[in-house]
Amino acid sequence: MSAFAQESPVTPEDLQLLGGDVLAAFLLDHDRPGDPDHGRSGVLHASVSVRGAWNGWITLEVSRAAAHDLTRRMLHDDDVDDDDVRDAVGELVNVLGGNVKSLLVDGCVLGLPEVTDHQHPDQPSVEICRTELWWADHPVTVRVWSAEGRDLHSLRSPA
Amino acid sequence: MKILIADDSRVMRQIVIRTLRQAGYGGHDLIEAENGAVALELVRTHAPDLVLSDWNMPEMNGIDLLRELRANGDQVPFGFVTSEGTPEMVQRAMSSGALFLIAKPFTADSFRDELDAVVA
Repeated sequence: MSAFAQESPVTPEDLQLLGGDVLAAFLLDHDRPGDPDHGRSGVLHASVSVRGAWNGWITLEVSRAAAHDLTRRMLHDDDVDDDDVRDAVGELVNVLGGNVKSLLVDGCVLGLPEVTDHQHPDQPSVEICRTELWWADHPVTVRVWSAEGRDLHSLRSPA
Repeated sequence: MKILIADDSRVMRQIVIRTLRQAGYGGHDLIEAENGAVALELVRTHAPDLVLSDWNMPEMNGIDLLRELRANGDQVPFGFVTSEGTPEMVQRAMSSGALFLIAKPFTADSFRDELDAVVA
């Protein structure tokens, strides 16, 4: 797979701008103390598909510890469980995906977000844009994947 | 006044509720639905004065919810709160009977801009 092999309709600067808007809107609880690392390890992978005149995915990767802290800040509540964390991370990629879709051609449909523990080992699409956001002092990787020219029936989400 | 909030994300429903409070609408009764089908039933049983709905939801999405309500003759004021705010989506929303579309991410100001004319 060769990254950035296709011309991207979205730039890293676009993703930074959109990510900043999401941060400002949904993570307003900046005063909440940081979350102690309770030994959470691993990474959550969230994705949302775009189908139609353009085909691909928007994905987001964040450590479980960071996802837990971001969820606390989104809910303004220290007592969050795994379902809350997956819901929050899915909603973050959903909002980013909807905004990325607005930069694509008309005639696309956004799917429902998916959140998994593992990145699919056999990514059937091409990464065309990537950026690293910093949300509440946590790194969050956002990527745009193109499935243009691929057999859509054989494609699975990269997340 | 009763406001029904339909979104499949519990986290997003909480953020919408928080934003409603920040925008000055905290004194109203707020009802939650996790998808369009549940929202449709709650509109029938609770007769809300306003529906704020996500677009993409499992079971029944927001635009199908709106069309079902209008097909049944229910004219409850309806607005979308969705991650998709393209002119194409706004046009589809308005032509189906929505009053407005608030795009995520939103602010308390964007809620006030659209809701002040609807919420007494």
